Amino acid sequence: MLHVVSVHFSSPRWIEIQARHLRRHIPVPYMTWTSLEGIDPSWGEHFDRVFEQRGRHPGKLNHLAMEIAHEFPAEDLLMFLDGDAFPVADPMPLIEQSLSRAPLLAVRRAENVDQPQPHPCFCVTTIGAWRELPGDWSGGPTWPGARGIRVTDVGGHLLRTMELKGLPWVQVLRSNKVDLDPLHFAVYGDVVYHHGAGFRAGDLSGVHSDNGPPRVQIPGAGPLNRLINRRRWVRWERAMERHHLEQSEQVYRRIAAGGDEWLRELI
Amino acid sequence: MLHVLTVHFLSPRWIEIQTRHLREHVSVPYETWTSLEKIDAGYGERFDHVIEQRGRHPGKLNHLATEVAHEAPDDDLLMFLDGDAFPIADPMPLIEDGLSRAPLVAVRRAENVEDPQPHPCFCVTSVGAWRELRGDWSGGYSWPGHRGRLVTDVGGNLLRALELSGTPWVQVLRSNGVELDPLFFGIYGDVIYHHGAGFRAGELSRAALDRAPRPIRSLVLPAPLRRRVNMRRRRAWERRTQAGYLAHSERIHAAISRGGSDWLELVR
Repeated sequence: MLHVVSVHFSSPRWIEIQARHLRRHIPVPYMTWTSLEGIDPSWGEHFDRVFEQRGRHPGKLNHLAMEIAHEFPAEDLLMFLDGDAFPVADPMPLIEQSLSRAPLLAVRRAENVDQPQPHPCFCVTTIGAWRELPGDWSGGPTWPGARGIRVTDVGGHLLRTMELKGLPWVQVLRSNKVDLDPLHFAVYGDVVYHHGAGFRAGDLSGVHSDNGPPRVQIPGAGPLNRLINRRRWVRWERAMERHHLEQSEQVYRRIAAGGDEWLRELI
Repeated sequence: MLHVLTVHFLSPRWIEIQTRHLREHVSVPYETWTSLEKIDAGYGERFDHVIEQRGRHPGKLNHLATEVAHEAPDDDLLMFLDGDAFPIADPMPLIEDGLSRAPLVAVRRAENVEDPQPHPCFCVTSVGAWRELRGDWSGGYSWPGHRGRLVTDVGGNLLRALELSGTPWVQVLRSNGVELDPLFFGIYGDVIYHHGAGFRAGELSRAALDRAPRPIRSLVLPAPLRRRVNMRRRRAWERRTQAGYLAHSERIHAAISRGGSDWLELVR
């Protein structure tokens, strides 16, 4: 059995889309596990199991995985899938081939300032391997991010656990031919689409910040330089956020309308 | 060996106090593990191990425990201790008695609207039990809190792991009164002091919110006016409560910093 673990928060907008793509592309028996904080409970009918949860994304994923591991055998598969991610082709060949080489496969968002860690927008392992690790989606351990500043993110602790145990993992990388954005609207390994920041309005990631306006240094302007740079940055950030939201809405509307036209333009 | 895991964030104000009380009261060999995000790296010399971390408190604690468990044998002890918590008496009798009855001993903040979960302001278990449980300080699993609303908090997933595996745990409860504050300035099991929200200025706890004035429902006032009156009453109450908490917090912190144990009279 394959257990799809996906958290939806605040908006039901991806539920029908995700459920439809799972039905279409997963050829093996599967169950869907979720929590729907801030969403009308009637949406629960799209899932096999719905849990009451509060808090942040990593803790919710950890909790869902714990509930599954309590009920099902070690050889069953766990598929973590972000709420705004879904398969666009049968993922089973990729999963089977990868799990024959390593106990875990996951998206690595190398395009996001070379992020090193597994990402839960798509990650598959066995219940047994998750227990053995033990898996935890929290951040904590750090690496250099945009402009060399140390950062952490969801999956950081999972990466560190695998490093300490010397466990390999198969990285599923971005495979878009057309990039509407350096991070969002991504296809990974030709099998999974991840809209990106699907539940947060206009969040800026490391790779976006890395492309921000360079600092200016006007001779003799003294502390005024800081004020000027701050204003330039805020203006640029707002413009980027507006652009992301507009682009996100356009792509979302095309996906929601059905068909594969939107996908063909990315791959 | 006992491994003390504590996260300091943004301010070094509790470091000297915590390390002094550990030296004074922990009667067995121990090592300290920490991270010092946004704190001058010079403070690292007060600890045995300093690990680079970012992110939130539960993830940092999980990560520190992973680093310890990678190096330490199963029978070593892990003591999770909030940055603004420290022993005020030898904790070993409580720990030894607790671990003879269950694999995990932890504060339960029952005074916080009956919080059901273990809290990392003080929690002790063995490396082996932590591995076995697949300990995780994240929230996620939820329960009814303030005014019946579902909440989660740090330790929620650990509670669920204990429940699912049928593992008992020993709860260390508040042993001082709540006159100063319904949650903060707590002494637990007569051995641990937890200042509470020591790294966040003036946050209101669920226990405090539970004492907030109920909205006026009088039908004499028209609805829009009633809403405005209720909002003003609520804000005034929040400001008063936060100011009171901050004043107590500063007074007690200053008294603790001066050394000795006279300050305990302020919170008992």
